[in-house]
Amino acid sequence: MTSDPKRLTVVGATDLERTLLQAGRGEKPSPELTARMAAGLGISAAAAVTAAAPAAAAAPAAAAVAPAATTMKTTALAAWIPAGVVAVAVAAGVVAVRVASPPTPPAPVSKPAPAAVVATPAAAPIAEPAPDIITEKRIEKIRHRPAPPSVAGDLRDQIALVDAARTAVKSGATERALTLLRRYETTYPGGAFRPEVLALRIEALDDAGRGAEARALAREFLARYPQSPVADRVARVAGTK
Amino acid sequence: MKTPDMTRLALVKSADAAERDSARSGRAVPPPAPADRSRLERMFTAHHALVWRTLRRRGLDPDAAADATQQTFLVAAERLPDINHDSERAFLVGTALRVAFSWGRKTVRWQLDDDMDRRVAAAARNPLDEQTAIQLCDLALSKVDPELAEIFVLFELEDLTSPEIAALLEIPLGTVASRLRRAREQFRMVVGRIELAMRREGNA
Repeated sequence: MTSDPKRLTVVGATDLERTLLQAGRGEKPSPELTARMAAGLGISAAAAVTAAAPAAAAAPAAAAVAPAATTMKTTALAAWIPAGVVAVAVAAGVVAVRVASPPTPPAPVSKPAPAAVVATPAAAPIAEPAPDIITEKRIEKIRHRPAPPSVAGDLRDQIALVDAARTAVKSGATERALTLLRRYETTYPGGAFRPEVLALRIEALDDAGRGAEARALAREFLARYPQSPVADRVARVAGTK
Repeated sequence: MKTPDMTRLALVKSADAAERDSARSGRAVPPPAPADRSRLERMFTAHHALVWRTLRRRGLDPDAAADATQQTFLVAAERLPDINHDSERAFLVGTALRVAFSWGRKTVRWQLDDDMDRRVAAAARNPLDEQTAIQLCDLALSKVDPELAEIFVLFELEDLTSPEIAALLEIPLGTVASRLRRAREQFRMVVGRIELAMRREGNA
């Protein structure tokens, strides 16, 4: 019987060694990447995304946001934050999150996932990947890979999610909106748009006929954000106004 | 403790065969039967993070690792009937390593070296956040001989046992032990250098 040595993280590592190893052990793909992989395989991402981040989006919803996030990553922070202006406008009871002159608009939210495992990479030789898998552009992108997910990237991803959720609420797609909002809350527990997300959730629940849940959340909202611009409207849902 | 078994060896070899078949034929994979689709979904849910992480530790960036993970599962989809339920993880890791190898020749590693000074300095100036720690982990791994780093990652980061690694890579147990020992020496030496550099930057 062979006995394995103890793992370094268990015995014998310095603090820095342990920190680096644990960081390497703990890294997980983002829900967006998981959804993209699942969509590429033509399988439902719901379970997988949930495993990566509980209460995340279903495949089509997640896949819809992913391309926008990918595109956005290539744009530098300086290109839009200074000019920009992240305006959180609340009007007529609808929470609107807008980026002034965004360089890349969010992808449409209705992009369907592939239906079956017939993706071309399956047929591509692994030793010599097809041009659409490893293109020169891809190699260049990896060679000059940008800094790790930046504050700007996070913020833009948040905006894309909130925007998509707001659009879903406006169009009456309440389940979709709730999925996107859950995903926001899971991915960005300390996110900048938590009040807006909570307000949208209340609105979606109310529209979906889940009045009791909406009222409970509305009371919670008013306790946490009494000065919010949408407090009045939320109060009406809560029945306190 | 598990011991290497012929089934696992055969499955790992079958991943090779799948790659060769694909390379030769270029044929499309037919849509899977519902049961296969369900199994693939379950495998994906259970193991995609492990596969992706294994590819990340081989030096692929997050997007490239996602593409390579997808490629790994496409190979698995093609070979589902041949994969023993108890050997799914081994099959996927083995396939992922081969995919990483094919990608690595073009894309992996050099950017880590190019960025070393900047990352070390950044780590020294700032609190060691999760993302920086991951980058430094990858940086250190990039300085370890590839064939040693492979074993180091499987053992230290993914908790595979030595027999599992021996079966996966088709090498003797003694070789796993000696490579792991050397990998640890190299990894610790690099991390020691990083730590020294961080202290220097911190004191500057």
